[in-house]
Order: sequence, then structure tokens, then C-alpha cells
Amino acid sequence: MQLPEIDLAVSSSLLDPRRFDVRIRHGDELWGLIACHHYTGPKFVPYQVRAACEFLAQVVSLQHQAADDREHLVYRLKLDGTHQQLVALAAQEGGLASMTDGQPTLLDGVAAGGAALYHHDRWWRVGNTPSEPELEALGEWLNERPEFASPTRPLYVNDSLARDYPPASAFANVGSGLLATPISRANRNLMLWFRPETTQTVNWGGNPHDKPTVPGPNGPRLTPRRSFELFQESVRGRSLPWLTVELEAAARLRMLVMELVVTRAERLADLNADLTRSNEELDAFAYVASHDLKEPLRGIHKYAHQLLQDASLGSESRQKLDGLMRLTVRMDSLLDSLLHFSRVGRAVLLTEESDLNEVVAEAIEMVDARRADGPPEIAIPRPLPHARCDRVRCREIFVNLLSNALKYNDKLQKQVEVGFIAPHEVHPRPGCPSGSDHFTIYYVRDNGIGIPARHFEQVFKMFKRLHGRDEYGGGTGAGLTIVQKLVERHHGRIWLDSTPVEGTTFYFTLSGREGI
Amino acid sequence: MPKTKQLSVILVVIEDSDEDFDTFAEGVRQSGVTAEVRRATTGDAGLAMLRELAPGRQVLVLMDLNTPATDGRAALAEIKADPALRTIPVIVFSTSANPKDIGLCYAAGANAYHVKPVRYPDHLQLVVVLTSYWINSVALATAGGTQI
Repeated sequence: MQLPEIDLAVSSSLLDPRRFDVRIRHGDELWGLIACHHYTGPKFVPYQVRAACEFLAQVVSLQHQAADDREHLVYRLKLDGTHQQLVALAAQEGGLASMTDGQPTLLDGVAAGGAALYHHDRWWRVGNTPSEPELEALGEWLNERPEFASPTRPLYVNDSLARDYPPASAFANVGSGLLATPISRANRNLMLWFRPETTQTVNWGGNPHDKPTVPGPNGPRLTPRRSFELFQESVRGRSLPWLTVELEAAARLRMLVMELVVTRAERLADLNADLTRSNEELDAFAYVASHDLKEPLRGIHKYAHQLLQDASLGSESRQKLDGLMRLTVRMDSLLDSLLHFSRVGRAVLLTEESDLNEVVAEAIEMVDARRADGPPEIAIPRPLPHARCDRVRCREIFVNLLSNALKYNDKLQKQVEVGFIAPHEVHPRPGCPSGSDHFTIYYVRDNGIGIPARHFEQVFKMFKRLHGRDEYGGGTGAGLTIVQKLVERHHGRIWLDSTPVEGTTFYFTLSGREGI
Repeated sequence: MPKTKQLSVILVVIEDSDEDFDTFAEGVRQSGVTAEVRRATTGDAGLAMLRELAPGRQVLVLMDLNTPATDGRAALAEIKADPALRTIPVIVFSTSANPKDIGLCYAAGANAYHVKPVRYPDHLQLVVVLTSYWINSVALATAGGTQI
């Protein structure tokens, strides 16, 4: 029960001989009052009775304090337990995302209606929170708050946010109360808990607005209220107050998270150093492959060629020398593919908004130029959309897929279709993996020889060919491996659907891999 | 009027592989150009050779990128940074088709870049075509050309 203004009236008449009171304390605060009034005039209360009352009030105070402490201790232990779990999970998952998506979440700790985390330049939300634009604005405002500058405990706490931050009245139903703490100053990363507006929970010992007055000799006079019936007042724009134990828990969680973030940053730095090292090794390897391995090949080819000039050679020897030369040439193209593949993996992508119609037109021109027989039919049923991609690499994807579509094709009239499926569009999607419908899917379809389902995975393997070395125009078997790498470099996925004899469709996306 | 005879062009070939040098010499022979071929197997030796040349001769450098000690890239940079040598055309021959290598060489001032083909006939043909172009069709500067 809150102390109403009745206490003022009582206190102003402390020397009133008709009255006596004892206080119930909670820590250093006045928590309650046992007030006795004698309306019919002064009354003498014996010392023993007064002492007993005093003792009673002290017992109540102590009991109340103990009960409160016990309750808070239990809550505190529960909070700490949950927070330890949260941090352990985040450490295991390798990211703070699990704090809003995993089990438990930030909401299982501090009792709140919603929680939000700003990390890695984006918001992670759980429960009822303001919208992202609202969070964005709130985050900016918070980062300027003097509370956040505290070196020891940067916490912003408010159970009536709109008073400090008027835009909060727009989301009072989810965020009247806010507990916020930064988890890194440099990146403006934040951890926030929201409490909804609570409209029914203020209990008064009587109606505080009903001023009990009685006419006195000098006009109306304030007196103690006669009715102490429970009075509930609606307070708008306020949430339940944040408890000290919750603030302490939030501060401790902040320390744990920051420790985790620092550890992760150190690990990332280590990994980056490793990666740089292995990239350098790969560079060195690529160079060895390009020069030191190819130079002897050129020599072998040359000597075989010169030997062939010898007129006295028998036909069997000539055949063998021809074979030797063919093998050196093949080895050379394998090395080229390997080099190309390693370059594709390391090259920096120049991502820009690109008109795929232009990209595909260039690809068709490049594929056409390689062909000796009549013009193939390459249909584009509807104009392709724009996409964020590296134009040159994307063209390479189409060149490879188109040339495969024409190469592995024994039909008299070769037909190839280049198209796309817009996100969530109703369209047949044979073989499309779940989740792919969130992204634009591009496809290249042919009426070629098709691929048996058991080989769907293998076609992407380096140097894997499904046909004899010289069938279907030969090749190193690196084309689709490079295409897959290029798609992955765009954070996309590639897959296929095929029926032997009827044809094959390669599908790919240029974005949408998990976690990006 | 009697025709004055032009002094033959000096072809400085910086190449460590004997097979590739042999292909090169054969190509020059087949192209029928009048040129004096001199070989260096390292970048340093090539640079020393260029600096010893008498002024007033027409010189052409053909180099492999991956030579021992000072490699082709460094030698190229040094030639193009030296006022006495920078007018000499440098023609690069390399196994590398890496766009990065190609770009770096042109940026360093290479006058042409060629990828060595693995097939001997193609390799030979490339040398024939390009020596006859550079020696018969191109107007070359004389060494020390910047001091005109």
C-alpha cells in the first residue's frame, strides 16, 4: 500500500493527544504506518501497550524485509542462471543472434514484454518491441544519453519513457518502460528490454483525489480519511517499475556479453590471420602451377613435336608421340582450369546494379562465337530483372551454363530458355530447395541429353566429367565447379533438375545464402 | 642511289628456359628478319647487357616474367625507370594468363604481353609473327633516345 497524503495530515498533528502511531520500515524507507485515532477525545495508552505496538511494528518490518530479500534473491539467482545460459549459448553458436532466436532468450531473464539487440549492424528482436525504424531512432537517442557515458554502469532505466523521449508515446503499448545498456561503444551495439504500459496497478489506501476536509473554525481543515478502502488508480504511459535486482542483472549480463564479444573479436582476428596466410599460400601455389608446372609441359610438347619430324619413325611411334602431345595439351588446360578456379575464389567482386538482359545478351554473343553449326534457339520469355551482382562474373555464369546447354545436346533443333522466377511467384519449381522462393531464381533450360538424378551432385565436382574425354567436344570438367563458385561468391545457391533425354534446367540465385 | 644498310636490330632475350629460348631463336630464324639475338638468363644480366650497349643501336627486349634472381617484373620496372633505357620496347612473354599479371606489366610500361602457348607450332608461329612485326613494321627508337 502506498503512503497517501493522509500521512501529511497525520504528521501535522503529531502532537495531537487523541492519536498515536507506529511506523513500519523497509530498510531506510518508511513503508507503512499503524495509526490509531481516538475520535472522542484524548486517550491515555499505557506504556506497555505502546511498547508492544512498537515491538509488533519492528517484527513486521523485519519480516517484510526478509520476505522481500528472499523473493529478490530467488529472482536474482534465476536471472543470473538464465543469463549464464544465454551467454554460453551465444558462445557456442558463435553469435549474439541466439539471444533472441535461441532458447532461452533475453526475455526469459529480466521480466519484460519484449527485448531487442543491435549487433552486426542490424536489429534482433524477440517478444513485443517497437518497430525497427522506431528502434533505430531510439538507439540514436540513447547513444547520446549521459547515462551511457558512465564508465562503470552505463544503464538507462525508465518506467515512463515518453517523459524523457516523447516519440515513445507512439509505442507506449509495448515500450512504456525501457531498460537499455550498450554492449560496445564503438559499434553502437545495444541491448534493450521493453515493458508495456500498465494501466491498473496503483493501489492507494483510499482515494488520494478525494480530499477529506471538515469545516473548522478557520475554514475547511484537512483531516485523516475515514475510509481506507483500497483505491486503484489508472496511470497512463507507465510500466511496472524496474527492480534494483533487474538493473544489477542487466549490468552483469552486459559484462558477460562484452567479454564474449571481445573473445570473439580476438578469435576472428586469429582466423583472419590464418586466412590471409592460407590465401598467400594459395597465391604461391597458383603461381607455381602457372609457371613452374607449365614450363616443362611446353618443353615436352616441343620435343615430341620435333621427334615427329623424323621421317624414319614407324607409325606406332608416331601414334605414341601424338598421344604424348595430346596429354601435354590436356594437362595444360587442366592447369588453366585450376588457376581460373583459384582466381575465382579469391578475386574481389565488383558488385553493382546490373541489367541481366545486357549480361545475358553478351553471354549469348560469346557462346555463339564458339559455335560452328547453325544458330541455336535461345529464348528469353520475358525481360530479366536487374540484379546486384558482379557483371563480368555473372556473365561467366551464363556463358558456362549456355555453352553446356548447347554442348550436351544431340537434338536437331537445340532449344535453350533463359528466364527467372520472381520471389513468391506461382511457378513450377521442380527440385527447388525449400526457402529458395524468397529470392529471385534464374534458370537456364535446355532440351539436351539430360543428367541422371544420381549424378546431380557430381556435376559440380572439380574435373568430374560424365562422358568420355572427347565426347561432346571434350573439356576439363571445371565449368560447373567454377559456376558454383561464382554463385557462392554472390552468396547464392545453384541446383538442377533434369530428365535424361528430355533436358536439364540449372537454377541459381544471386543472394540468399544462410546468414548473409 | 646506293641504299645505306641499316645496322641490324639487337634483340635482347631475357629467358632462363633453354627450350623456350631455342623456340625463340628458331622463330627469329624462320621469320627471316635481320637481327642480332643476345641472351641473358637473369633479369640482372639482361639489365647489365642493355647498359653496355653502344648508343645509337636499335634494341628490342623480349623477356620472360619468371627469371631467376631479379625477375622479369623488376627488370621491366627498372628499364622503364631508367631515362637511358626507357625508349626500348619491352615485349613480355609469360606462361601466366592471369589478368593481374597482365595488368601489372602494362602498368609498369610493357609494350606488349604474350602468353606462351603450350603447343609448339603455336609458340613458334607467335615468335615468327611478332619478331617480323616489331622488326619490319615498327619504327624503333635508338638506345639513349631521350638524349636527342
